[in-house]
Amino acid sequence: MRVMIVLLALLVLTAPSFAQEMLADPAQEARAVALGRDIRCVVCAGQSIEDSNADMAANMRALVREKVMAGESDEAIMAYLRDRYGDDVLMRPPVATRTFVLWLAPIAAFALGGLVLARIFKRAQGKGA
Amino acid sequence: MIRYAPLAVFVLLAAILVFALLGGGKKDVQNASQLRDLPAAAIEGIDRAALEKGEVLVNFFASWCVSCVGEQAVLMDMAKRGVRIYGVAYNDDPEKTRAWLDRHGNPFTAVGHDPNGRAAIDWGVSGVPETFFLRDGKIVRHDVGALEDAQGYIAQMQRSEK
Repeated sequence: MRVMIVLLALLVLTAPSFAQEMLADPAQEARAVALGRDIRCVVCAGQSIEDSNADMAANMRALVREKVMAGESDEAIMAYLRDRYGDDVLMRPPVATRTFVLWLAPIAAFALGGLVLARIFKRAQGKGA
Repeated sequence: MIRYAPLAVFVLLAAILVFALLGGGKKDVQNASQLRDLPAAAIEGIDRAALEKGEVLVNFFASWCVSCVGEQAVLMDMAKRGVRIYGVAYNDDPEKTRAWLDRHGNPFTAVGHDPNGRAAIDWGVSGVPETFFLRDGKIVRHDVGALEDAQGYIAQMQRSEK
């Protein structure tokens, strides 16, 4: 039982969003976390600032919280960072003409695979009959 | 007809990749900086008005930054040739910054401090060293990584004049 409590405590204590920078208001903190998950840590390999413990990410988390506290909108905060770091700072690339391939390719591949499968099944059925 | 399908797909993919590789309108950190106004965040130790006049370089560095050591010689050379350079120590202890400058040379007109990275983010800096070239309070050029060629950089500064 004691071990369980210690383990549970550890789990809570080591949860992301390192305690010293958390906002007192849970709603604001939730917003900051949600935003942080959409902001790419520009010096890490594919991590959001919420997941990274790099200095840079910690600085950005603090900045996001400061802006949330100041009442800035999500859009304004994202725009602030995008104006400075470009698209690299976004975890989800924007849907635009130059990224349509990126977004469309999986759907197209899936559709193509479906077509191929349908053909194969049809052929197999034809042979069976 | 179907025989040429793989070839068609290949050509299409190649065209898309070439387009993406040659820019394709991607907004990266360097062109995000292009012609941006002097960032608003105050830098402790640097007078904002000094950055708004004429041509000036702003160099983000740190005493813990390895490639900054090599770059310092380049900056010293540029300062000797009359370029006004302001240094901003990023995530650094002022004591260590001073010791580092004593050791590797100080080409800076003034040294600012950015202990929490607030100025760095406002400038769009992701690591050190990074260098900005400003003319009359606008960012003309943003280099990520250590500068290596003082004369070449100065020549480009002059060429960018209109």
